[in-house]
Amino acid sequence: MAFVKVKDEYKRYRMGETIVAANDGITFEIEEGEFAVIVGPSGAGKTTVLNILGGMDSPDEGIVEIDGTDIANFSEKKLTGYRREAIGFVFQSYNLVPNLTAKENVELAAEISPNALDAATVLRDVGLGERMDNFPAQLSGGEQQRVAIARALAKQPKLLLCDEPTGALDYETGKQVLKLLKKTCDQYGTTVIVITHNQAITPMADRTIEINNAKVRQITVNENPKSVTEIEW
Amino acid sequence: MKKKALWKDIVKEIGQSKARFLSIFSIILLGVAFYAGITATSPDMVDTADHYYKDQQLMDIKVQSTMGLTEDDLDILADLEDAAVETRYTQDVVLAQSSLVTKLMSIPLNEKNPLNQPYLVSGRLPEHSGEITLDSKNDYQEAYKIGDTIEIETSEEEEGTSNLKKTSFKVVGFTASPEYIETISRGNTTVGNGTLDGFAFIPETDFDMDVYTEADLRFSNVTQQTAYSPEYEKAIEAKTDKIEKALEKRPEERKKDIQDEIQKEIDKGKEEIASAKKALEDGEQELADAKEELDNGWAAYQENKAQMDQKIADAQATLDQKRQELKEAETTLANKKADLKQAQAELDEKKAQFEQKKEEGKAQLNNSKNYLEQAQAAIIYPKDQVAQETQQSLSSTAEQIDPELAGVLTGYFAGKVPASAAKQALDGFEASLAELPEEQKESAQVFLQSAREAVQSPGEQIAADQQQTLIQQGKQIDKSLGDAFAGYFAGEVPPVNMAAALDQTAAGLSSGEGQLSEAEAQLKAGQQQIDDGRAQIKKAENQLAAGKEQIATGQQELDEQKASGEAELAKAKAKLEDGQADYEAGLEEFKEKQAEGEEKIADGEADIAEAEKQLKDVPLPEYFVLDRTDNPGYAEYNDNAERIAAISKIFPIFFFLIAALVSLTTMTRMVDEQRTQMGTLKALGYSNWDIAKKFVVYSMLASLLGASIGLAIGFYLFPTVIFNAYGAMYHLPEVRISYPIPAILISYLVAFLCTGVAAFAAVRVSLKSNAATLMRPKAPKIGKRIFLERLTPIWERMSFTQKVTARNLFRYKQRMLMTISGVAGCTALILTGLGLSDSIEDVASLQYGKLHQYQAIVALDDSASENSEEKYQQLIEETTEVSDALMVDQENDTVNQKGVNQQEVNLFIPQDPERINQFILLNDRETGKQFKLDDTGAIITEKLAKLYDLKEGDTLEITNNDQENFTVKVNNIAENYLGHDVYLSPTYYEKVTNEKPDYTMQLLKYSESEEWEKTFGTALTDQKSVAGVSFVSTFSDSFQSTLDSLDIVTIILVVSAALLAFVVLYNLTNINVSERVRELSTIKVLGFYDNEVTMYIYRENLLLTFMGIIVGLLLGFILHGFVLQTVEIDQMMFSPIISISSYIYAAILTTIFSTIVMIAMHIKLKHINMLEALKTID
Repeated sequence: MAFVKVKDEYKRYRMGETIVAANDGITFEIEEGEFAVIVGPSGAGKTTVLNILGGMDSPDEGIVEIDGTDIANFSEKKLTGYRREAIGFVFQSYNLVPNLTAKENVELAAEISPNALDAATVLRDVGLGERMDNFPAQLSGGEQQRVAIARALAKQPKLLLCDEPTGALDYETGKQVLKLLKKTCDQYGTTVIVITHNQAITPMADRTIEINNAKVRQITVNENPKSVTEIEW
Repeated sequence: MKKKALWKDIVKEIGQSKARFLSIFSIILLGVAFYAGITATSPDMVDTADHYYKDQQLMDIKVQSTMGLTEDDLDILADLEDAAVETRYTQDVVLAQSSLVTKLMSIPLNEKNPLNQPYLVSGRLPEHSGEITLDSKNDYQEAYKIGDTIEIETSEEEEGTSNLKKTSFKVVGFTASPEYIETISRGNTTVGNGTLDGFAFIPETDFDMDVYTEADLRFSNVTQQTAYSPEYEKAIEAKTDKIEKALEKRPEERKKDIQDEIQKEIDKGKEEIASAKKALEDGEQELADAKEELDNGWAAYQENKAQMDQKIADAQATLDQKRQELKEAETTLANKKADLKQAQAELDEKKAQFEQKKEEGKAQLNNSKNYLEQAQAAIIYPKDQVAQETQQSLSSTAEQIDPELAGVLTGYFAGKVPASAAKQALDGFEASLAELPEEQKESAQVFLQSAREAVQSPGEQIAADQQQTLIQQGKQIDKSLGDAFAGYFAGEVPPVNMAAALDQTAAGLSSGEGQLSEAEAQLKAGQQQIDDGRAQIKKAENQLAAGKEQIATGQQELDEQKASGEAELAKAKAKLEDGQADYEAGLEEFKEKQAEGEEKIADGEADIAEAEKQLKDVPLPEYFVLDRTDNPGYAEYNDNAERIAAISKIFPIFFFLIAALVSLTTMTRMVDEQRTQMGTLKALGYSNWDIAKKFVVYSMLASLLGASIGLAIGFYLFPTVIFNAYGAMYHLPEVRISYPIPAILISYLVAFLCTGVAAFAAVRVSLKSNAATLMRPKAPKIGKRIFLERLTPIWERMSFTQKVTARNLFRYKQRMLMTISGVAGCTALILTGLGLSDSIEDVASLQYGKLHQYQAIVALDDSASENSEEKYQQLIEETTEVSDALMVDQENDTVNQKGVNQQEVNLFIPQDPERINQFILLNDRETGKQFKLDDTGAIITEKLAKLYDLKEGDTLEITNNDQENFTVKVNNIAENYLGHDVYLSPTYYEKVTNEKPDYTMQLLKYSESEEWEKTFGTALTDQKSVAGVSFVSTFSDSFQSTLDSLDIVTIILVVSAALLAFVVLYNLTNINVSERVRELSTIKVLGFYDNEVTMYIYRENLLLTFMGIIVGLLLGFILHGFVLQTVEIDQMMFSPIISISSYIYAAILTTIFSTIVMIAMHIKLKHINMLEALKTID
């Protein structure tokens, strides 16, 4: 049974007079421990998929099963609980709390998570052992993103959702972040879903879901994903 | 260039950021409303009162005298410049049904616009005699309705009712009065229980007084000034001085007038007594005369009566006698009647017998007569039997033959010779014949034949049986008759004899008949006699009847006479009796009148004695020139207005400061948010001013709008609310709303400064940067280690969230300060409000609970007689409820010193200084050490010491009523809150003033209910020597209620503070949230529950609120002290202590407001769109 199962999922927004479907019958599955990439151009509806998967939004129709639980009809509160326990987020713009040190940012998440990892350990794991006590403003973009990843991982999420994690990073740093994500996937067995418009990343994914114009265009399962170092863009 | 787009942008901006616009708008509105409102309140209050006074023509000055005012006084007053003088009678009375002690005041019926015009609440003013309008106080409106009739209590020995022509009035309306703006207090009186309950107006004409009670003055040039204004007060002071000067000589004059008048009265009284005595004597004389007259009348009456009685008795006697006689006559008559009756009876018997005899006799007679007739018929006369010629021839022949025979024949023929004799003679002749010639013998034989034929015997002629019957019957009648008849028939008896016998028998018969007739005649005569007797009796009877009638008439007449006489007598008697009754009534009346008169005379004499005594000690009348401050509530009202004014000078600053801070923060935030746009505009080539214009215009629009509405609300709301709160204490017309220009200008100016300038300041910094920098997002504030982290032990012990909170707090220092000051300001306001209430409330309880431990002050009448004073003392001694009493001398003096307002001080000289502390606690406020009043110096009260900066050992100069100064040494300074007191021992008083104290006041202690107090008060005021009674409970209550009204200020402060706190907290939190929306979204995404998210940010707020409260309490304490100083009046010292509960309340209230904001924030946070917030910024 698939770990993530999205079936006939619709999400519509009202834009003035017209109703625009952001997700128009999205159906896909992702197995546990997979490194999945959802790819598509801007405005294709991939962020909506991520929001719904991450429990930040609910679909209008359809089934969204995570680890056997359909969250499509979860209440606001249940969704919050779901986010708290099952989801780790990595944003393009890191979204670290500027007033907290790297470690505190991680702790912020760890504090509320029932089976959280030690913040320092996680930070060390993401290679920031030395910069733990630095404030985000004192860190580079990559470092900040790593803190963000550490914050997400500290909760030991079932699902790690990354929204354009490399979008704000330079090539090298981006690669390092991707490497870290891949490593996390491998090392912790966390199911990672990366959302990107960058087709170049797809080869490293176990599964690629192409979304265009609110619909799933293609799902590719890659039996032999390339390592991060192999890919270029 | 119109830059239409730019303006459009501004308008749109407002639409988009309603919350921000509103927060500036509302903080400015709040600040301005509070400032403008509270600033306008005091002038509005004064203005309202001033208009009321002007409309109702409240007097400026009132002149009274202890002996009333006369025309002379009025003349003096009328001569004053610009003065309108009106007079008035007043009289304090007790209303019968409700026992309300009421001041009756006269109201002129014809005056259209009198001074001190009552303010009609309902009904109408009195228009006719006997009508009354009552105080509109609740007690009156509850006790009476329009149309009710009020009785004035007359039972008590109140002189008051004699000053009125009527004691019964019809209620026609309820009024307030500009003289009594206070709703409760009406002042003191000597009537009832000593406290006036209210006033009432009755027509002037219903008063019956010789002198006016008061003269009210109004000065046309002073009235222009606003009441309470310094100009007014100064002018009045000047006028008062003038009047006092003008009246300076009046007491002496008046005294003399009164003395003269008393003398006149005495003279008049004496005269009256004399005339009364005279009148009594006259009356007595008159009565005596009447009595005499009456007695005469009685005597005459008795005499008349006796006379009449005698007359009647006589007449009656006569009548009775006559009656007796009549009776006798009646008896006689009756006897006669009886005799007559017997005679009649006898007669009747005789008659009967006679009748019988008569019948018998008559029958016999008739028989006899028949017999006689037969008998007579049987008698035959020969002359009748023999023809006459025969006879003659015979006789003549006989004669020739024989003369003798002729004699016998003629005798025969004559019946005288019986036939036998004749025959014999013839026989004889015949015989002879032969002898004879015979020529003669034939003739003598023819003759003898004829003679023989002619002489025959009767027996031959009459039938034998008839002869027999006749003989028989004759024999029956008379034997002789029978014999005669037998003889007759036999012819032996001549007819003549026979006829004679018959005649004799007939005669016997006739005599029998005569006898009968005679018997009958005798009977008849007897009858006649009886008839006569009867007639006589009848006559006698008639006479008797007549006599009776006469007697009856006589009796009737007598009776009538008697009746009429008696009636006349009765009339006379009735008249006399009436006279007697009149006399007796007169006597009674006279006796009564005499008693009365004598009593009156005695009274009059006593009065005269009294008056003579009075004359000797006519007190010098005192003249009082009182201004409006004497009206209850007049001055306090201004004090209240001034308190509000004081508050209005401090509190709005807070509001404005906070408003400025809020605006600045808000605008700064706005500028921050609009950075990119500003950069874009700049890049497009707009000038800095154009760019700044948006913010300036935006904020100005919000603030000017806020200010305008704030002004509108404030000017109306605050004066109305505060005034209405005082409405419970003061009876005034609706508040007059004013719109003072300075307040408006200041409001707009402050609004402009708070926002426009703040906006410009905020935008200026940003505009210094170039377009490119601006277009880039502002680098998030760099996280920094905070000082606290250096204190490792503490920091490490803090939980993660605490650390986060701590770091956040210090990260946003500006906001932290803002929040703290906002909350602090709020708390301070609340605390000040509550603290004010505490301080003020304490005053009453401290002054009348802790310090003044007596319950009543009795003012004694200086001029009262010793007797009445003793009576009073006896009453106090007998009233067991009164546990203690102390005589004191109280004087109202003044202290004048440059630089400080003149202060009125009460000089207290207790008769027994050792015991003063049992009545008035003299202690140190802070240490509680009790002071002893000794002969080395005075104890003065705290506020006085404070005003003149006196310390123990200093000296104080006091000016007494006679403008004489004396100096006292300050030994101690005692706790006191109300008024200024200076306590001196009698010895010390004498030492400093060279006068002996005059103990005219008595302090009384008891612990009884107010009910008892009322009764006791009545008992006290009934005492002649009591001039007045004041109960501590009464002025404690009224003072308390004055102070209570300040509660509204507290409420206004608290409510304003709450609103302020709300706006500040909300605004700041709002900014906080919007500034940190990204962070909040992040943690939301991380799975923070709503509560946790709220707490994440609110923990800071709580801490800030807490800190704000701490600062606020401190600030409040300072502010409270400051406000107290401002609010306090010279005559009062507030307790500077704020109770713990107020601190707690202030904290709790602030926390509550903060919590409300938190709840609002929580809702807002819940709806934060985390997706939107987390969108990548490109």
